[in-house]
Amino acid sequence: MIGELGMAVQEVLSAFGVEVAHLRAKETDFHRVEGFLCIITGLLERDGERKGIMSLELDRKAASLLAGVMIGDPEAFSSEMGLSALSELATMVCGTFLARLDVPLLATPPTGVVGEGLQGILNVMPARKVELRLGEGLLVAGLSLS
Amino acid sequence: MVERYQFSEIVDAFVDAAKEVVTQILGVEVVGQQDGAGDALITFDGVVAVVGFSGAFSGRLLLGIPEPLSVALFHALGGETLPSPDEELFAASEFGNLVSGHALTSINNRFPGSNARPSPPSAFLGKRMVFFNFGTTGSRVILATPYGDMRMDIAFKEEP
Repeated sequence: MIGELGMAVQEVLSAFGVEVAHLRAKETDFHRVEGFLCIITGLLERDGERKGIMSLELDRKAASLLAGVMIGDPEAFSSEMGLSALSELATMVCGTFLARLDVPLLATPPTGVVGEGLQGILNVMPARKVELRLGEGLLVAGLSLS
Repeated sequence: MVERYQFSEIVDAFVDAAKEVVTQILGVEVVGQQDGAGDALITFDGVVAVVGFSGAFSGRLLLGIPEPLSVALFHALGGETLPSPDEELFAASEFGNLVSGHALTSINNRFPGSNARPSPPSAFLGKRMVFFNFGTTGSRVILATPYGDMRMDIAFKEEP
């Protein structure tokens, strides 16, 4: 499924004219936060027991680049308008990702958090992640699903 | 089906569940409660547990846990020394899981057919963390405990 998530991110970014130059996959023991801005969406199987977390994690440069593309102000990524735009991006990625899957999953509303020195464990399940290089910034899409 | 006017009952279920879990785990009572409206941007210091839920309605629960309460939860859940950051995060996740589990069981009993289920709990640790949700309406509740004030923020997705 992580391949579908990576493609969903690429598809949504492409709609904003952002082509991803680099894509690298990795696995982690827990689903941890990387970056200083993170948006998480809970996933629940419609008629089953599977559940998990989808995350988009951005460093400052990636958040700035996307704020510039989406609202025309790269400096405004941590303003209410910037955070709203990034939250909308996560909703679009989630919708595109779910549409690519055979398994019907429900999504919770996205919740974001931004902060210096942020630490977090998003799920105690192992996670698969794809790293996407956005100019000098890094966007990481993660998925941990039982 | 759960209607918008019934959201206050759902908020009450989360608040009652938090009080119950605090009492069960720590053996102390919540000694005060303040209610207010939720905000799109919420700033926290310390440890925060986040649990989403989905079914006939969807939303998410934030639990802002002050440091003394976080340490007390860690000890009550079996920890013996001062917790590492990861141990605090695991304890907060478990606390969020317990509160949301109790609340959603109660909600599903009260509103048959809701089939509201929790997502896996997440937990964050930091200073001046700003949490954000858009397209939701919510309630904020502050529960006073002997270990400091715990802030709850319950948000529901706005349906078109």
